[in-house]
Parts: sequence; C-alpha cells; structure tokens
Amino acid sequence: MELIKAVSRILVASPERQAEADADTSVVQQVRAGDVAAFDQLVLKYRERIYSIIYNLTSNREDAADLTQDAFIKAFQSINRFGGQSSFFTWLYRIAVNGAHTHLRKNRLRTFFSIEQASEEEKTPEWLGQLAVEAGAEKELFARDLQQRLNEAFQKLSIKHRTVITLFEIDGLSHAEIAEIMECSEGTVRSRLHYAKTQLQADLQDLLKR
Amino acid sequence: MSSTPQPQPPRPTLEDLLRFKRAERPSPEFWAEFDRGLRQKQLAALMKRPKGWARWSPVLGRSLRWAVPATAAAAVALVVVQIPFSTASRPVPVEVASRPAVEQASPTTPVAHAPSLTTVAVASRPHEDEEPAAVVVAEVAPSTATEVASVAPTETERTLPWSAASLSSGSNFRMGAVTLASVSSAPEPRRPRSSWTSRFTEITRELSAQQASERMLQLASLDLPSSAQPALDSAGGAFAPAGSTERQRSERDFRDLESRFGVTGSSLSIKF
Repeated sequence: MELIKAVSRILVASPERQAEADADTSVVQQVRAGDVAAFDQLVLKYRERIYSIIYNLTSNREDAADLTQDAFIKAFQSINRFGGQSSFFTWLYRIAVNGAHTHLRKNRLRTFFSIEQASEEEKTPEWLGQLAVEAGAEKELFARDLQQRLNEAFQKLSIKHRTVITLFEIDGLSHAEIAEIMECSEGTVRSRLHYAKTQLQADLQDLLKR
Repeated sequence: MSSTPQPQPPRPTLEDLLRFKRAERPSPEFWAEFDRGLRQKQLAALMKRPKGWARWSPVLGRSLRWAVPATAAAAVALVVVQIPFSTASRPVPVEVASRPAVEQASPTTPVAHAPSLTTVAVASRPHEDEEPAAVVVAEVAPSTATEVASVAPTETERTLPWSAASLSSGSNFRMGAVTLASVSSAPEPRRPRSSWTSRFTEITRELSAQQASERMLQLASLDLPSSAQPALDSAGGAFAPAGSTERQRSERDFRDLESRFGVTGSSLSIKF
C-alpha cells in the first residue's frame, strides 16, 4: 500500500502525467475551436474518477450522478475561461469538488445513503469472511452493512476532511494536487488527512485490528 | 501439556477498509444512463441563452471598468469648473420700487419715447467683498404716468455696465437715461449668466471712487438738452415751472442733479 502511494506520488511529476496534461490541453483547444464532440473524450476519461469522488463525498449515487453531470456541463460552458495555469484535470476536479461542497452545505440536514455495490473482487477478502462469521451474518449482507458503516463514518467527518481523505485515499492524488484543488497549502492537506484518519480509526475501532 | 496459541483472527486495517470502500463502483448500465442524461443537459446548455443581465454582464463589465473612473473624473472636473462661476453668479438683488400708477412692462417694452420719463439708477458696491447690488427704478410723475419699465434682473445686469460707460461719454443725463432704457430693451446675444455677472464684476471693479467722482463732475457740467424740454413741459409743474427761462430752468436742474448725485467711497448713487 505504501508502495502504491509512493509510486502515485512519483507519477505526479512524471512525463506520463505531463503527456496526459498535454493531451487534455489539445482536446480543450479543439473544443474551444468549436469541436463540441471532442469534449466527449474528456467526459469518458474523467467521468468515473469524478463520480467516485463526489459519491464518496455525498454517499448518494443519484446525487453523485447529477453533480458529476453538472460538473461536466459547467466545465463545458466555462472552457473558454480555462487559462491553462493548472492542468485540466485539476481544474475539472476543482469544479466538481466545489459543486459537491455547495450541494452538501445546502443539504446539510439531509443525509440519505444510496450506496453502490462493491465490485466482486473486493467482496472476498479474508477479513470480510471472518468478520461475517463473528457477526453471524451472511457474507453478502455483512458486506452491505460494512459499506453502510463506512459511509456513515465518512459522513461524520467535516466536508474538508472528507474531501482530503477521499482525494488521497480513494482517488490517489498527491498532497500537492490536493492542495491545488482545494486551494490550500500542502501542510494543511497533511494535517487534515491525519485528523481524518484518526477520526475514522476512532469511529471504526471495533472493526479494526487491535 | 502443550497449549498451542490460538491463531489471531484476521482483522482489517484502515487501509483495507478504505480499499473496500474504493471498490464501490457503479455498474456499466449506470454509465449508459449517465451519458444519456449528460447529453440532454449538454444540449440544453447549448440551446439556453443567457437571460437578462447575464447576457449583458460581460459587455457591461468591460465598459463599466472604464465608465466609473471616467464619470468620477468628469464629476470632479465639473465641480472645479463650476466653483468660480457659481461664486460670481450669485443672484443680484434687484429692487423695483412700486408706487401708485406704476405698471410693470416687459423688458422689451420700449421706454425711450416716454415723454415724462425720469430715471433713477443706483449702483452701489459698499465693500469689495460684498456682492454688487443694482437697483434700477424707472418711474414717472404720478400725475402723468404713462409708461414705466421695470427691468428684469438680467436686464439690469446688462444695463449697469453700459450706464457707467454712458455716464462718462454722454452729454446728456436724461438722454442717457432714455438710451439706457432703449439699450436695455434692445436684443443682445444671450450669454451665460455667469459671464454677465463676471463682466459686471469686472467693470464695477474698474469703476473706482476717483473715476466716479470725475464722472459726477462731468455730469454736473452738462446742460439739460433742448430735446428733453418737451418731456419736462408735458410732465407738468413739478418738473417745468411756468414762467422761468430756459437758462434758469437748466441751472435749477443742475443744482437739483448736483444735490442728488452722491459719491461715497466706491459707490455711486443717484437719487430723485
């Protein structure tokens, strides 16, 4: 896990990431020139990542779908204002995160979980079966309960802490990229990440390894 | 007896739980629906035109960037330009003496041919820092009142500079008074009020006390014109005593004028 994080951090400044940013920039130029269909390439490339972030922020799949669509529409409408100071994906992430924050602040008192099903390969880790046995429940049902529990723990975090841990742990962005998206310092990102993890560990203490 | 340690049941770490959460992904059918909804929203966004202010906000934003400082600069410039004019164009108090048998006429009413016209013109400037006051009164004797012209303030302002010049060059006070009325009624090109008052102020400043007394002496040495005699005769006994010669009448009028003209400091007053 640590190796994956380290590799992902290295990839931030890698030539591959730079080539990816250049490819995005050329597509953006096409869209600006009037090729509306070129925007579909950007949608196909980033829709799952954007959706995943917003879903983990809202814990509601319908809201996440709407907010993801809105983020792409807003990016499409504002693409002439994209200055190129940052990479396109950072700019798009910022639009998506800001839209999700606005939605969460508006619906602060409304929490309605609508959870996605976990993919099959992640359903059968060894610890999941053991926990299901201990709970005396079927593995499938226990997996659903665990998902609910994790989403509840996420929703107990503040919006900023939830965003940081989502971008870092779920999407695998670096501290620098998160700092750019959230327009704060890397130190703030590290601090928020540490606090979020501490909070999650405290909330999920009964499930974790003692 | 040997006791084997019980194997620790596998427990997840926080990273395991987060990885499990990361596995929450939508199905492929979800993406088909997502793409359809996005396409509709995209088309709606393309078809939708900005409404109201949103349509003009980019243009207004660009123009207001320069309009605000330009307007402020224009306002400051206007205030700076207006201050001298407003100081010079304070309203000049004009008094019109109302007497019985005095009727007001419009400024354009010709008064030069009034047979019994006597004119009082008072221009006084007691102090340098005070606003010049002007009083023009045109009246006739109560018995023979025929026509009186009351000059409007703007007309007065135009008349007073002229009357000062006329007093120095004219040879007949009464004719000057008649000319005063005719000039005041003559059409002149309109000038801004502020320029008139400025002109008046300049001329009254030029009229020093010494110049005023010189002009009084010139006036005092004048004879009454023969052309004005019919007017005096027709005015009745008050102005043309019966049985007196023309010379005597002139001398009496001269004394009368001398006693009624007064020069004090920088002010000139003529009384009847």
